[in-house]
Amino acid sequence: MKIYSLTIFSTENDAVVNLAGEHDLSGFGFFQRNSVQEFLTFFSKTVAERTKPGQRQSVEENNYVFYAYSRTEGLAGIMICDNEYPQRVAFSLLNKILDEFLIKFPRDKWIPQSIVFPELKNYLIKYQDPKQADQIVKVQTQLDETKLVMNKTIETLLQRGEKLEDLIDRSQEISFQSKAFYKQAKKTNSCCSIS
Amino acid sequence: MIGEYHLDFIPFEDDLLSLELDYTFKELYLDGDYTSIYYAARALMKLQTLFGLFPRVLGKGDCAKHLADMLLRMRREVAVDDPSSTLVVSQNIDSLIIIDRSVDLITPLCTQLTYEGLIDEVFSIRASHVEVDSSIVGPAPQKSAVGAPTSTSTTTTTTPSQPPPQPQAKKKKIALNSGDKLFAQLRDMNFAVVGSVLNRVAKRINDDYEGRHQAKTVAQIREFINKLGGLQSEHQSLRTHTGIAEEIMGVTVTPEFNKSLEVQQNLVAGVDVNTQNDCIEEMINRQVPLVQVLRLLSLQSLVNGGLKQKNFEFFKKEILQTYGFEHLQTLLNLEKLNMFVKQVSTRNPYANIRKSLRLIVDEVEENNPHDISYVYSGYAPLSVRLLQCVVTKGDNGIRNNGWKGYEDVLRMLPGKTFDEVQRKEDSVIRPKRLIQGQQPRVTLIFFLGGCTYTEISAIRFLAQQDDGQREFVIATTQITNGNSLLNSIMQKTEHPGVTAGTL
Repeated sequence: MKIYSLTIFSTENDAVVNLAGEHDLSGFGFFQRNSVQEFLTFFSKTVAERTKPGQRQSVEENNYVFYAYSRTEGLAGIMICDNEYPQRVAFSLLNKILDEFLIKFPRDKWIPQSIVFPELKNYLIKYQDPKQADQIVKVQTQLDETKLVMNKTIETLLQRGEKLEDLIDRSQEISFQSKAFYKQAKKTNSCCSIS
Repeated sequence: MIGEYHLDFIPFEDDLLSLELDYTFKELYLDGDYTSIYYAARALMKLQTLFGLFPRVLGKGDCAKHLADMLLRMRREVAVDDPSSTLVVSQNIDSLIIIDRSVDLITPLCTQLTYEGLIDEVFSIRASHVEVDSSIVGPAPQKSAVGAPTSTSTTTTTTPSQPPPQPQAKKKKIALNSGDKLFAQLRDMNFAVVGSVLNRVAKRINDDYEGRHQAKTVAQIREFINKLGGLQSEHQSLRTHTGIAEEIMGVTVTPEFNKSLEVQQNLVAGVDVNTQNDCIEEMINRQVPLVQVLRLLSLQSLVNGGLKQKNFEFFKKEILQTYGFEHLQTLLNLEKLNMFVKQVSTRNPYANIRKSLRLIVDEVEENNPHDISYVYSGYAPLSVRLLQCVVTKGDNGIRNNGWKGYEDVLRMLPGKTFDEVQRKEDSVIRPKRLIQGQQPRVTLIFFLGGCTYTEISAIRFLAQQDDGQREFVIATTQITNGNSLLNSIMQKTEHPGVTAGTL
């Protein structure tokens, strides 16, 4: 699974303006890259225009999936990846970069040419492997590993000491006959009584 | 500045107090030394200052009467010494019932058949602790040779580097009290049902352990881990009690034990005396520990009003020749205590007592007993039957009617009978009628001269029967059994060969 591009647009004033964007075109042949990049940018812009503020959506086109997240602050983040990339991870990534962007660049700084946002590149690289990067997935895998270790520990703990099966068998053997005698005595001596 | 610390009652359980005075039986009834009565009175007086005067003091037995008189006198002394102190009548305790050991010597001579009772007979419980071989409570030493020593169950694990260690013969002290939930469940039950209870508990713990396979989410796993600690200690407790029960079973399956039990049960049921004498003679020939022989002979003497002259002389001779001439003193002591005497008249009150108090109960349901006789599998402790006379509802619907209706039986038993009401100044205290929703009444029963674990179990059984209307608190000078009772009056010397043994 791959992320091809991450772009941030400003959606104010009904005009979608590209603020920052990064692309990973290593999967494409050298001569195709330019046209692919144009194509991706164009598509991103279109999707951003069509995404209402506060809305998340995903668009599928051939093998590509466009994840769009438009925020009410007037920002929209578009991510283009292949169809294997997990949706939840995609949206959490978009959320993250938009948060960081907002913190770093307040509204008055949204001038397209002057924005330097190196984190975008970092994220693009980092999130190529969703398992490594995504917190939730990481925690889930750790959890599964821990559960396995836990189960193994419990098993070994219970093996120590006397097995319960032994105790079950031994306690079955314990018996005690105590009341035979009174009845016996009564039967054999019902006629006599000692004063 | 020197003061005196009065260590009176030691609480063993919520319902059990003991003075732990080991020699009261010998002192009171053989030596005529009434010091322990003073200590008992002082302890009971302390209870009265804490909880209020006992509205009613009843009892049976000469020493019991002494104790009651001493209590009343102490109360007057307190009023004189400290006129400002006002002792009010107790709100919770409704009566004190004092039972003299000499009134019922039959009960301690019989082999106890409850779980705790048998532990006492076989291992001898001292201050709620027993000392047993550590192999009973821990895993077999061979298994734990390699690797870290196992949990704290044994004190004998050797260092891991050694090859399989030799089985250790060390002892381990185990606490036996209601803190151990499994023990609390087992202690008062007849030993016949202990095996099946242990089995049930083992299966239940096993199922709980299997629950770990159901734990999928983190929350479930955490829940299981939390339960695990409790399950492990239950497992250890199960291990301990299974071991102890097996040891006891090792004793109860022996023909010696069963023969002794048969003789006891026949004697108490009043059956076939002559055959019992043959059995006892055989035991002496086999050199069974003297204390066991004496338990049976005393039992016979008590339930038959003595032995026939020729039997008496015969056993006396046999005992002296088999166990040593120092036991002439032992036999004289028993005679003085009226526990091993020649029959003087054929009139024997025991048969009547047995009938009126219904001491022998044929149908005994050990799993779900309906009567206190389950503690001896068919014999109801005489002392507890007397207690039942007092506390069960009388014909006029009033509980705690005192000894009314049972005067005949009481006359047949040795010792004075008394029933006193403690007055506050000049007003008379009437026993309060229990209103719905009020706290249950507490009846304090005091055994002067010792009480057995079976008597304690029987009283607890009574408490359960009463729908929670009445609670019993048992107080005693000490906890005793047939062995300790007789050992205290047996003559001791260094004698190679036969010594006074257990059971």
